[in-house]
Amino acid sequence: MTRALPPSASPPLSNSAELAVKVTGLRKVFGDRTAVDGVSLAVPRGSFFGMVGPNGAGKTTSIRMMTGLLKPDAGTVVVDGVDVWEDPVSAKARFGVLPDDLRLFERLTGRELLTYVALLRRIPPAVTKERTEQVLDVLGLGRSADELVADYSQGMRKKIGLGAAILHVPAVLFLDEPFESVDPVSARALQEVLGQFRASGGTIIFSSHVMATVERLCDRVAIVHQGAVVRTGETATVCGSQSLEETFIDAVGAMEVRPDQLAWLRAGLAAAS
Amino acid sequence: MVSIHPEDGTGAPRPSSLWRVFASLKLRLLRNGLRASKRTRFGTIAMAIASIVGGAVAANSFISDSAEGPLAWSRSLIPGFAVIFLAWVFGPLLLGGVDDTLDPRRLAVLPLTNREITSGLSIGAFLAFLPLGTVIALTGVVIAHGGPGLRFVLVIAACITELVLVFGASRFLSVVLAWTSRSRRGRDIGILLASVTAGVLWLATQSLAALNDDAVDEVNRWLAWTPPGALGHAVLDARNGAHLAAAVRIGVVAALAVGSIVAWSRLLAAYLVVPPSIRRTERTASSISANEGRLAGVVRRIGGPLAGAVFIKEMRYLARSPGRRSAMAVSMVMGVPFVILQVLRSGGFRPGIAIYAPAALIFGLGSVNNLLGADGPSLWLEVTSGASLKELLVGRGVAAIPFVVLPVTLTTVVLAVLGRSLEHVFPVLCVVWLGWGIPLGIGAYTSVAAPFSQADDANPFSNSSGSTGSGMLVMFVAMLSIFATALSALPLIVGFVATSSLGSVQLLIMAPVCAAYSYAFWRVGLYLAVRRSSRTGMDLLGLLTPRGALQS
Repeated sequence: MTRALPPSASPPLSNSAELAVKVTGLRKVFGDRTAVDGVSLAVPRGSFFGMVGPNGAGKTTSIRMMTGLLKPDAGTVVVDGVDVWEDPVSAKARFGVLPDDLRLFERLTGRELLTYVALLRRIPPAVTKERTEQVLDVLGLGRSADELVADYSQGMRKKIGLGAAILHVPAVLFLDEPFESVDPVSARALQEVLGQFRASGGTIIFSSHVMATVERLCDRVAIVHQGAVVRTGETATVCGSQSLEETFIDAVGAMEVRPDQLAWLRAGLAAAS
Repeated sequence: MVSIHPEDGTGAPRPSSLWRVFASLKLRLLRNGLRASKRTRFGTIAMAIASIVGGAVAANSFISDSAEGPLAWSRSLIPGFAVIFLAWVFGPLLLGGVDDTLDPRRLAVLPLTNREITSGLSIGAFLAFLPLGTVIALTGVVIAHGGPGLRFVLVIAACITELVLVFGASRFLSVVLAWTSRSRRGRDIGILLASVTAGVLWLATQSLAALNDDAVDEVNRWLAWTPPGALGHAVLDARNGAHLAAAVRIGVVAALAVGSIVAWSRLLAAYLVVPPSIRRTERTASSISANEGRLAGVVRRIGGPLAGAVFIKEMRYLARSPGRRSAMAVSMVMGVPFVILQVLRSGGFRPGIAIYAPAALIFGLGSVNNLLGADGPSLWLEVTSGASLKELLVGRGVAAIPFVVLPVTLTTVVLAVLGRSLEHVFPVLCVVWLGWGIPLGIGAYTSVAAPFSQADDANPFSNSSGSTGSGMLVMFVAMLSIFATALSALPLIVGFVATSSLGSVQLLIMAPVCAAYSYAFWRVGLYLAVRRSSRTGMDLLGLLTPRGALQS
């Protein structure tokens, strides 16, 4: 088990039994750069939890550590009551994950991929067959179910990856940028699937850059900046009277472009017009 | 929704069922490889035929030698077991075709123990064509030397231990290379060590053919101390009735084989969760030197406005791109021993032997023959900037000249020193330094006719488009291009050899003729490549994705 850091300025944690995910003092250092610096989160069961932050804030690194894909330098992660780094096999049976660098068996068809993932997750063949067909149908992949995954578009890969992550009915879903490269119609379908998952008692943790989506979907949110959680809690409480985007910019600071910068661009466009 | 957890008892499988799933997965991937595309199908079938025929030839050799005496058995068994070892350990790395069932990262998100992951990868490794060829070859050993009773048991044990040994060693090397390739320095050292080891072992094994019988027996005595050689010797012992000696040899090697599998398994567990050590890239000069600028100007005049920019970018990549650095290291380290091997087989070092030096470009041709498949992200930038195919081929082609010139130059000097004939250095270098247009012309055409996408690193797991067939296909393309290059360069070599004996004036006359021939050859290659591309409607951006690789 990894060494736990002293408690950082984290929100008060509620009763552990009510928590789907409890992260304490998570820390990761790459060379001379601290990617994640004492992240602590408490995600109640049944919540839709959004992690937002600028590029390089540490969202992906945090999710990788929460899902047993990257060993933390310090801190603990407990998912559905199981310590991810003490008992990774049992923990991985309790959650599904859609990582950013999704690695699939490229030379399987979509249907075959779901089937083998389910079988490797020890789901009985009869149940596997039934769920595979339903997932393909719900995600709109029915017509391309017999095409090789290598021929799928980026959006289709996200969808089949999500399908593979929910087949075993996990208690918690970790999704890293699930809507990136996904067209609006497919994104809506994905959101409906996630909504049903949550309505059935599942917990979702996902990272995104799209503030409007996070604000609409999530009842809880964490703003991550420079490897640390700068604000977290219920979305309404965190945002107050502001939008999430305004709150986010307040928290991490805005980048301003001075009038003298990119003058050549304006001049060029003016000349062209 | 109903929660399904292992403790629910709804799906906890017996271990054997997981084995069946892994086996079924591998067979499905093999079957799908046959339906992917004509090219992949061709590569897969070729790999199957090569493995089966190779195994059958080896088996026949073992069986036919069994009718001879103990000396013949020794001369076939010990090197035979060593060659099988080398084919397993270094073959996949040299061919570049890595099967995706061997990539552990695809299983990382699943609730599998390390033991289950290693079991799955083992099944993936054994259900393939190379193991099939190996089993056929080892069956020949059993038929030839497996007698009644204990002898049969020992021979079978030696063959099974050989299978476990080659598997453990090849997997261990793969994960070590994957591990070391995560940092720039580690990657360079790893590739250099693997190349040197492969080159030395290959040289040593292949050189047996050029040695007389006494020397072969001496080498065999040394080889018998290596793990695969010891297994060959154990079969020999069993055949000669020295059962205890055979059992001891098999036992020692079996312990080593199991040790390598345990080491692989442990390293694999760490590899899946420990990140690479990330160091900031040292600052490098971003300005363009005067020489680079002048050369870029020449390239621009030949290829078009953007060819110079492509060339400058590629020269940066030659030093910074992990894939390019590794390819250059392999071409330099493997090229020299390869030519020395040919020299040894053709009678040893003697004056004039430097003429063999151009063969050293064989390991650099892979980079020249696939100018578009490397550096996908930068190809995207070049294509969206409006660079034409000709500009890409010219810019990237000129930047690939070091892959052709440097290994041959080094080999020429080594051969001239060993053969004590420095007078041949100049004519050979003339051929090389002026004749680069020949491999570049063939490379330009091959890059369009048979492109394949290459990951920009040296990680043996990173070839996401790798399959059982694609590695074989890459090898076929390389062999064809070697043959075409050799054939096309023949007039130059003959011309220089003929004129070098006449005097320096004739050499000076020959040089511009050589340069003109080479340049014309390159231009013809470029023309044919562009014409083929426009006829087939080549999708350059499609090359960036794995599915563009050897599947279109």
